[in-house]
Amino acid sequence: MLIEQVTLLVTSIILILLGTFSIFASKNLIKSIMSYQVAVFGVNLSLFSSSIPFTGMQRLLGDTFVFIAIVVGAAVEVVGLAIVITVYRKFKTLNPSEIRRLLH
Amino acid sequence: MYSEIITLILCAGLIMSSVLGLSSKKVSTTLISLFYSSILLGIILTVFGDALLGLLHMVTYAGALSVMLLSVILITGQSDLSLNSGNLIKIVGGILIAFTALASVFVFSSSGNVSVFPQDISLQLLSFLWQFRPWDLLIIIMLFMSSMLVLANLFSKGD
Repeated sequence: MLIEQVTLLVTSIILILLGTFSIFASKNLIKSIMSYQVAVFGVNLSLFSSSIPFTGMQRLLGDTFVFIAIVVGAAVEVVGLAIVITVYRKFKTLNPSEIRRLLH
Repeated sequence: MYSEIITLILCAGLIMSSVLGLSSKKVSTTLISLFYSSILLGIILTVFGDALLGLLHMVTYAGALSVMLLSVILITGQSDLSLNSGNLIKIVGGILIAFTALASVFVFSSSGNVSVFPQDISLQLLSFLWQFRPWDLLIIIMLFMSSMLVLANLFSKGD
């Protein structure tokens, strides 16, 4: 079980780093939200992998954390999509640097 | 031994689909890759004994949020996908119907015996909870399916 847990943890770290880097590197707000989704995948996987060795109530506690992370991540993404639509209606673009230029 | 190989394959697929999606220039390609990433992560959660979490993850991310991202992409015109392309609507609708049907079969066929790597106490508690959840989960799946079909129908009216 240790090898599988380490595999899941390494995968989650890679996903978190990949998502965080891509949030700042992407030139499209929709792609930034997709990158956030990848980072949330990594967080969910790390929470889940940390609860694998346990049993009983401790395992259920870890599963509850993953459940809350899934729901909160989805809710935050939906709010981000609503903000993206509002920004697009106002500025007619989704490029962050161009939006910043249009603000000033 | 088999469990380690399965875990490695699933994790490699998850990383590859995420990297391919985020490195792609097209937003539609990113969306499709994220769809597969969501399904792979749901499979990982299911394989390690948490079928409820895996199903919730797949229904939430691969089902609802993918359709919502697709609708935002179509509204903002960020992709080469067109509102008038009837084939795309048919493909997306077919995938959604197949996915929800698969989830329904999965819910009714699994009464706690879905884990490949059985956990002792948590599996017993999960199976106890699982026996009382199929009808609620089926209602949730039907709600998701109807909302997705309404959304697809909304876009197909632009023809």
